[in-house]
Amino acid sequence: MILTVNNLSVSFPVSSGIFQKDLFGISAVHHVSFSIRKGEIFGLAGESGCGKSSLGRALAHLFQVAGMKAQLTGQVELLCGQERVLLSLLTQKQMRPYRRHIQMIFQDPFHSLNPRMTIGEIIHEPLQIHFPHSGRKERQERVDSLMEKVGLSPEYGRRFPHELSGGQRQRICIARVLAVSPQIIIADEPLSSLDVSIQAQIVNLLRDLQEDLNLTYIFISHDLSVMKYLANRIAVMYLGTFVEIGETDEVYQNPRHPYTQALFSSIPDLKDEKIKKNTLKGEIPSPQYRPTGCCFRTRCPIARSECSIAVPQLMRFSDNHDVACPYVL
Amino acid sequence: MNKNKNIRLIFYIFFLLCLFFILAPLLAPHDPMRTHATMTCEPPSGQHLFGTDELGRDILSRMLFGGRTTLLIGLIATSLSCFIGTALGLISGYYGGKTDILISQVMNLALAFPSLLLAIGISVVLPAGFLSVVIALSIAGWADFGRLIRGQTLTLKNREFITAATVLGSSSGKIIVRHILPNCIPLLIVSFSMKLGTFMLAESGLSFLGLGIPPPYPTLGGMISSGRDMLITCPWIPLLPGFLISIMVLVFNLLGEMLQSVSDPKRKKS
Repeated sequence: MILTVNNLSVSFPVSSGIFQKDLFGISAVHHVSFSIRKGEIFGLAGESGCGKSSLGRALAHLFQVAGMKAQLTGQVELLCGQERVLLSLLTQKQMRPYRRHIQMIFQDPFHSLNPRMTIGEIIHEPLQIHFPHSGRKERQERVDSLMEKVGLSPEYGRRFPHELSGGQRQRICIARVLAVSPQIIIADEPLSSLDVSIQAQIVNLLRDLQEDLNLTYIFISHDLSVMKYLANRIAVMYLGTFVEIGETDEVYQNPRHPYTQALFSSIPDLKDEKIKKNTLKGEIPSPQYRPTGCCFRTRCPIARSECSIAVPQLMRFSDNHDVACPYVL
Repeated sequence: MNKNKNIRLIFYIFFLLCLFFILAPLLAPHDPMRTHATMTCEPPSGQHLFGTDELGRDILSRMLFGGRTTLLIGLIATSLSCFIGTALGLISGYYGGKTDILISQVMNLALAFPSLLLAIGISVVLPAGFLSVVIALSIAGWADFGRLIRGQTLTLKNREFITAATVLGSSSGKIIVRHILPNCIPLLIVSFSMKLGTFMLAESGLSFLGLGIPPPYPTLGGMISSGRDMLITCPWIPLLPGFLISIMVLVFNLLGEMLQSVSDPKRKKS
């Protein structure tokens, strides 16, 4: 296990009133536990606003989201080289030397590259930060080889980000992350701002790199078809909690949780037009006022009165498949 | 095409002005300080190209030396206030919290005061001279840069490439210097050249009021001030230095606008 997350919660304070007291906490991630093996592609699926990105950012020690400071409880333990480090205990400053082990690829490559730096400088920067003792020439060679690895000619090194296409820019982002040889790469919807034809290239690049370098990804996406293709293991999130987690093939073939079933039936399919879509009614409840007991009970087709009492825990359904609903096992 | 011609013209005027000021001691036909009791208020002629003033001093020579002083004061004062304002604006915008409140309040205080009045007040307190004019102008002008850069920092710091730099392990100082500051540069160039124009005017204003460089040393404002009584009888005495100020301010404003478009990597190709 290179990453172990135990009972992690991320909440945002909501200030109101003239004294700016923090009255409520919006719980974006709610008591989540999981662990990730080396070389695994762990998919995080769920509709927008379910807390996938907040979870990814919390793992990367980024708490400042949209001007709000998130509060984090629980443990995040990462294997950094030989030592195990409890990231959740570190301050921003203490975190800095460990940052290279957990990296992030962002959604929009138009915004995640500094418009005033050349491509070469962008990839060079992390090397300079984490390997300051290496020679300049040595680092330059590494920049060139990284660019080749992500399928770009080193000639692009002198260009500026705006001269490249979206797909090329996302390749630069990947090269920049690979520069520091991270243990885990969190890919936060790396495809959603790209054209469909480019998406396939980036997915294949991510997959090839994973095989070549034995990388570990946490792949956050709402695109369930890509997830099926890429991920080894998948966790389905609803309102900040995991409702189902398991081997991708197993979960796709045999989704147990009513939410997962509804989510998967929303995947457009050209062949089976006759299948009745299992659509959910109602809206996602506000994370500020979470339903008691099972958070899905307000929209669940099989909800019973008992569902409002106890919070369902993830329970073993089969060897590599856990479900947070006691009535579907 | 037409625009390119304009740009070239402005560049030529700018270089010509700078050349004139740098070579003032060589180019000046007469000693700018030397008075001539018999040749006061002479109109432009072959011997005195721009005429002489009420004390018989050569106006062309005085304009060359005066323009030099004005430009130098403007440059130093603008650089100083740009440096202070940018540094404080970056710190205040990036760190936020109590630091931001403190710096912002000081900035607001400085901005609430009319800057020329502040400069006048400061130059009254300080002994007259080159340095005190520079200090007075810098104290009056840094807050404009500060507010501008603070605002820009606030928008930049929520951009994703700053988050990316944090994830990659950049320290706050590095993020400010490597990522935020370079993205403020186009803004700085424009406001620098604008401020340079304003400061040259303010310096002339201070000299006009008798608070700048003390006479007999020539400054453009001082020349206008001493020549204003003769606007009707000998119009060349105040008008020619006034004209020079206008050209200098105009050229710097236009130059700033041009430099901004050149410094943007997105426009480099065209």
